[in-house]
Amino acid sequence: MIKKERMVKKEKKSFLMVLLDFSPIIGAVLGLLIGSLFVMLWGVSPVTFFKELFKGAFGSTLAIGSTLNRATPLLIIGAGTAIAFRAGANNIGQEGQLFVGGIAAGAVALLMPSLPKGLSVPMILVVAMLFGMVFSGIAVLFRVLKGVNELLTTLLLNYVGTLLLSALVNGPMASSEIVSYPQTDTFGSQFLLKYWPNFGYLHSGIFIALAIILLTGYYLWLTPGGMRLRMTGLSPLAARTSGNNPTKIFVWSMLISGGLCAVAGAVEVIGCNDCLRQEFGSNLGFDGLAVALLGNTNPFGVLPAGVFFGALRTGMQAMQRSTGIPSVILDLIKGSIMVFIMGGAALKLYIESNAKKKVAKAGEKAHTEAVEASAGTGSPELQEASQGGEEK
Amino acid sequence: MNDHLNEDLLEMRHITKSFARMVANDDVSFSIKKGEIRAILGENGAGKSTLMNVLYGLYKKDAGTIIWKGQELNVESPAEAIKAGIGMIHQHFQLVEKFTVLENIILGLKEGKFIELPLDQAEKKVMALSETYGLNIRPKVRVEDLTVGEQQRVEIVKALYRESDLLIMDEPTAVLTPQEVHSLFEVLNKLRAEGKSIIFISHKLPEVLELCDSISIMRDGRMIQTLKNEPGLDSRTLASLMVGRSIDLNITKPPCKPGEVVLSLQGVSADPVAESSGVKNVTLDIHRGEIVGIAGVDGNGQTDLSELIMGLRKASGGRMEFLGQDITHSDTKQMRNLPIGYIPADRNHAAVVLDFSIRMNTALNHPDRKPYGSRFLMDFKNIAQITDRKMEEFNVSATGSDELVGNLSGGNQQKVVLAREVGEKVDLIIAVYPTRGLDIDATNFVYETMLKAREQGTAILYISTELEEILTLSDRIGVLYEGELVGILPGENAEVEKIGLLMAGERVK
Repeated sequence: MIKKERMVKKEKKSFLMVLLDFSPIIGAVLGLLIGSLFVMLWGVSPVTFFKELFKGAFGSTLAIGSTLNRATPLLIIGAGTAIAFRAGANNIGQEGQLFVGGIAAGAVALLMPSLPKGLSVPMILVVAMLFGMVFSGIAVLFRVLKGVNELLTTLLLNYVGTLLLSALVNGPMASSEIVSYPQTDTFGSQFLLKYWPNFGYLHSGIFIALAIILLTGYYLWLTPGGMRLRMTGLSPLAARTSGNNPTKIFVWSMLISGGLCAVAGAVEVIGCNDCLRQEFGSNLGFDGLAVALLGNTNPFGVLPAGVFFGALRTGMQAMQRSTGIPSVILDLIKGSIMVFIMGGAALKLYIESNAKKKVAKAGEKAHTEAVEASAGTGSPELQEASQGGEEK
Repeated sequence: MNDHLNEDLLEMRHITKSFARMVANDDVSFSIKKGEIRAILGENGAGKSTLMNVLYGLYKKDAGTIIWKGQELNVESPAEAIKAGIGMIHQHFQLVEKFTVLENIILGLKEGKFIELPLDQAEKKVMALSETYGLNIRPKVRVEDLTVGEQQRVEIVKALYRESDLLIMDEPTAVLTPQEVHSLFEVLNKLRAEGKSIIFISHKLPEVLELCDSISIMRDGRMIQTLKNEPGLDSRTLASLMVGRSIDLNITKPPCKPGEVVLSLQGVSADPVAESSGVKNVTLDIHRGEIVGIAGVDGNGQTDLSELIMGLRKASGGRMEFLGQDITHSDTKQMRNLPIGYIPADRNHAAVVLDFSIRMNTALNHPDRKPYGSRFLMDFKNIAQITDRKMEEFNVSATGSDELVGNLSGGNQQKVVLAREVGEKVDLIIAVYPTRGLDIDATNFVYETMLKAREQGTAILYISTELEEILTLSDRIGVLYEGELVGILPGENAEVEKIGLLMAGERVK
């Protein structure tokens, strides 16, 4: 009865939908264009703007190193954020988690100053990971026990993290020497990452960042666990029905995400500083969140996105020196990029939900149709019999 | 009849309404008098809702005329229907939870000024209505604090406030407790005494016989018959008219050779959640090579039963065994590993991940097990090969195995589910509404797949609200009513009337 012919029809995607698939890239380009138009107020032509920006970010080994230096924490945060977002956990507490990671680095370096060289850095990373997990765990507890949306709790925990760091470096962890800025004592040299002054102060944290990108990317796309995590994000009910525990997956993705963001903070502290300073990496958390979105919440997309943001920052600083354009234009560009990406995502959702409504309607019709049709296939005798029954 | 024609409040003549190729209402004529309660009886998909939606202005009729109070009426929207005096109370109430009862009642009315709501005036009118019909309305209370029964009465007042002469009630008792049903009937009787007309859509026979003056029966989009509710009219007659006869789907079914017991339910129960009725003390054995069909009106515990077996719901009592092994408290993962083929009711959300490819959906249950992969790495090459083979075998139409399942038609999505759940031999299949939303070819494919599995000695629990397919496929037929298994009958030459009665809540010895 079933015909052996396969009707293969490829629905043609509209041009707009194809464009929207590339919304991160288009958003980045449009953001840069807006920035280039804006600098005309300083009498700088867009062409000069792009030239200077590129030169500042990639023009020399120093510039490249500096770009990668700025990209390092963003890569780690971006990868960590991707883990949460793919599981449908809305972790936007990167900033707070970053600072908690910094605190972890300070705690290890100052409380265990005699730790041998081989153990010092790994210890910092492990403790930072744990601190971050505990910190994001607060949001997890609220969500699991009381159903409070993690979007809200992680956002508010950002203030907790910032103020906690501020309180510590001004109080119990404050430097024993008199310094002009709130900071801790200098860490022992075995706690600091190797860095290369001639290469834009790039430090060995970049390898940690790349390892994390590789690991998270491998986990998300190649392992059964990663597939289940993504499944939970896309359809919690399907995840449950196929034998998974969506709550457990949510909890772990939030914890790992918070832990990785904290590792980013620790790496930033021991890579770019020699002690823990108040607001050592302000806005890194929010930039990392932006990098995750620009990278389509895919660690392998986070890699170019993080380097792009690192290049923007280095390039804009160089441009400030050469043309006098204030580097705060950077925030304008970053903001525009985010608006374009979000706008693209919203437009895509709108188009898709419209299309789905149509499909759902067609489905309902097909169903009723099937019922009607099956009712009509009865043999004549039976139909007659049933007609006769009704007459009675 | 002709003598009283001028008394008809509403007359619908030769209404026809079709969707695409399907005729939902085929030349349906219907009339109701002032002060009459009329039941419209019919199974799911019989065309009751379509007819009412045409009347209420939600659908545009293809042909036919509506005569309302002696004049032709053309409603284009519910707003016009309401204005004419037709009120509809939907199964899901159209109330704003955060608003008070009074606010809900006057919501959408163009009375008073922009800022100043005529609340005092409205309250007087509402209280007067409440008094007249014994509705017990508390106008100042927020809707979210009301019971379901009270919310329904608010809907009734809402319609009365708009001076409706005809109330359409779509399965009003589905969400009510027996006590609430009782008080609803009192209200409806008072409305009738005051000259209001009511169309009462239902498939519960005892209620219809208790309340209504006359009963119209619809089946397959046609009006079958209208009967006066006189002494002597019994549920049996109504059930046989409502259900009709079993339909031969040209499927040959070899005789059943039941083997050992695969799934044994021994008095299992599950607590009701939200609007579901839960499972109450169900005892049932399913043997190898046997299809046990579960009939019942939607929402009588079908999904609850399947979820209970699959470990998605906790058992509150009883015992379940799978091939002699206790599975009462097994979780879904353990059940999946037995393995069991499970086709859930909610295909789009529970059975597939729409944004995953066909390949990933094929590996969905066991991505960490051979042949799909190991703990730390999925075997994509193998998954692709297996998927290609299954797509061939189950005749899935797609551009390739890497196509997103969300881009497939409902029938092809279901084939992907079937290929995954029953593509390999399993001991037990639990299928819930597996043909819902499918076209005729895909539906037949589901039947063939089930019968093939039956031949291979699989035990099958087939849950459906479509009685025809239950009758066609089942070796034994169980009927669920409010979570209870109210009867088990042989599938061979099944007594359709008896099944209809059981589905409608009649106790049959």
